[in-house]
Amino acid sequence: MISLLIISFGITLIYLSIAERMRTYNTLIAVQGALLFAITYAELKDIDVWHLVLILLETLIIKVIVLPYFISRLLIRKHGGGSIAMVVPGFVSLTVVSIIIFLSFLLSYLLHDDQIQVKYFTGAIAAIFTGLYLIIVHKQVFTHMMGYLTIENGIFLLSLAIGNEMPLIVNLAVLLDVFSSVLILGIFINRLEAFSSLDVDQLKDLKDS
Amino acid sequence: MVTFYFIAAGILIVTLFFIKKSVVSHVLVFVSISMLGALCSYEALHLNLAEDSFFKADALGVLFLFVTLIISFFSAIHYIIYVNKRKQGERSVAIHNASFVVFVTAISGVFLATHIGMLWAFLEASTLSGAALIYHDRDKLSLEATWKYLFVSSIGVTLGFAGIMFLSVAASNTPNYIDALVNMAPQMNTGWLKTSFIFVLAGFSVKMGVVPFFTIDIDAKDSSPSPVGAMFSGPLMSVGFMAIYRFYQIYAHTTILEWMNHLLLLTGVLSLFFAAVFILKTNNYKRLLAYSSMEHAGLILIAFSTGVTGYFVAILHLVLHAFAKAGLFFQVGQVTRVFNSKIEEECGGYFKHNPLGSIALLAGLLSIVAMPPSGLFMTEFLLFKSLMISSQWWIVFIVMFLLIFFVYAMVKKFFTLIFIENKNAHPVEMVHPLESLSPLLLIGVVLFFGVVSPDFLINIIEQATQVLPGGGGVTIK
Repeated sequence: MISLLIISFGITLIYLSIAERMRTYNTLIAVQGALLFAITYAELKDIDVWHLVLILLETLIIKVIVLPYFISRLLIRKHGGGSIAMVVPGFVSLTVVSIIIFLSFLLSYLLHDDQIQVKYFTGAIAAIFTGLYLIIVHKQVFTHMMGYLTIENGIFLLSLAIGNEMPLIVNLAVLLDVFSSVLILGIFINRLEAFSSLDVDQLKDLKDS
Repeated sequence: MVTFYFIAAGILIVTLFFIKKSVVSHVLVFVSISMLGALCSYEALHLNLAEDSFFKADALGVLFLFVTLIISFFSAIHYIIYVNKRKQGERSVAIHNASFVVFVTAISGVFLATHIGMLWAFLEASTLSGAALIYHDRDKLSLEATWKYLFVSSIGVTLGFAGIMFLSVAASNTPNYIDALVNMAPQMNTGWLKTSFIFVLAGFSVKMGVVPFFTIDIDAKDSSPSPVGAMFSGPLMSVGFMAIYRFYQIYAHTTILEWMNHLLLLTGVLSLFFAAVFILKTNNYKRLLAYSSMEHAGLILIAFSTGVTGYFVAILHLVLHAFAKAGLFFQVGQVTRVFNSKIEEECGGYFKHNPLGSIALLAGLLSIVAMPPSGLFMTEFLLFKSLMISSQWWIVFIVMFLLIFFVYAMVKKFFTLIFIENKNAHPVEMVHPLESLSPLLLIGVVLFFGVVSPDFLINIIEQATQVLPGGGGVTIK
């Protein structure tokens, strides 16, 4: 069951690499949130009620409902679903992300560490590097934020792979930080648009001379 | 006391967001600074007392808390002047003041945290509040700087979190409390620790303003009001250092100590190199100060990498640099007001318009380029001594060579500003000489420490380095 969920998570990464519309990105990030909830719920059997509430909040409520709704309302509706200019051809991105997933699997398998769970670790490393790849190859701030959210999802999986639980208050602080950073990023993207386009090439006014 | 401080700060922050009267808002900021003062005094008297499972004030934490207290006090004063001259709206004052208190509280949390997860959460909180401070002027440049800062900082802090996760792998089921991790360190897998340290160093470089994520720090200091630039160059740099130091403190008890020192040395030298390249190119006085901060951050890492005496030198350099740079940022803020510009080609003959301010600038220049009697001269002298003792002659040569560029750039640009008349410079405002007193005071502290080494400062830094291998037994007296 968990393997199936992790494979689905990997498929969302591949789709992210070839997505061309804002709405598709947003849906894929929401799907990742739902998958993370399902993985966590299936994995954590002896969980206390407060941790369960927190995980519910972080994955199902925030990652699946609140953030996609917020992004859709603030950014996507204004652009009518908005298409994203592809800097790198789709098939190149597809190949790169496939290689990232393969190398992540290879790395996890070769590590042979009892402390980590290979399945989660593969998904986590693949998501972190796919997120970084999205940030590097795209020039629009919207895609950068999607890359950031993918990295965040990777970090969430990484914490599952390691299984060393943080105290509840730390988890809560982490959740609040991630939530507010995405909200603030969204608001700033909106402001940014008032001055220039959402292309990072336009953000070049700060320079040395 | 710590819990009480955070609860009281939380109440103040919420109140500040809704306060419409700027006067009341400013008073509440000073109330929060007084609270920080009370916390500092209490923690200094109860050093290493664990009041809560997540917080404990050790010597380094208390030292950095005092630095934050002093600079935030002057920063709050200079912000009042800044905002009154610009006739800023009450709403932006409310947002700035609330964010300022969040920022100072988050910074204090980083200094006091005993759990690395908690440390991370406070670091992220300092990013979010820092972004609000940068955005103060609400123009295109501040928006660009804020977006870049928020985005790159978030990526950096997330990479730092990945570093924490890798440490968790190495630590097995050990709880992520620093003391527990230090005890467990010798049994940890060094491969994971190395991976973790790379992520931590790269991620938290955002806060310290060194390679690789240094660019956003420069933009942030340039586009934010000068009092905010002072906070970023002093307390925030200490935050970045503290985050790296906490991990170093754990890993130093393993066999990767030497490897970590090499990595810190490399980061320091690269930071120095990039700062040297860019400082020659810039014609913006605030960016000049920002690149100078990057230079000093690089020197701090180089000093730290030499170990033993280097630990002491790095911490003392960090403290003295914080005061000198805060003073310079406040003074350059006045220059910007006088000429309505921070660009070299639009400023000049400053001595004629503000003699006391010019003296403050000259004293600041003397301090920051580490000329005697600056305290930074003493720390840089000890840095070179440490490098020579450890026979790192190539590093001595490279660092000395790169420092020449900084001295040249700083002296040339500041002398041009102070003494050379410029027909394009049109003063639009006269600054009251009293405004230069606080920069003079801060810079005076740095000059004073170059002549006299107060016992309390030496003792507290020695205590701070005791937790590191070979540290604690070094004295410069």
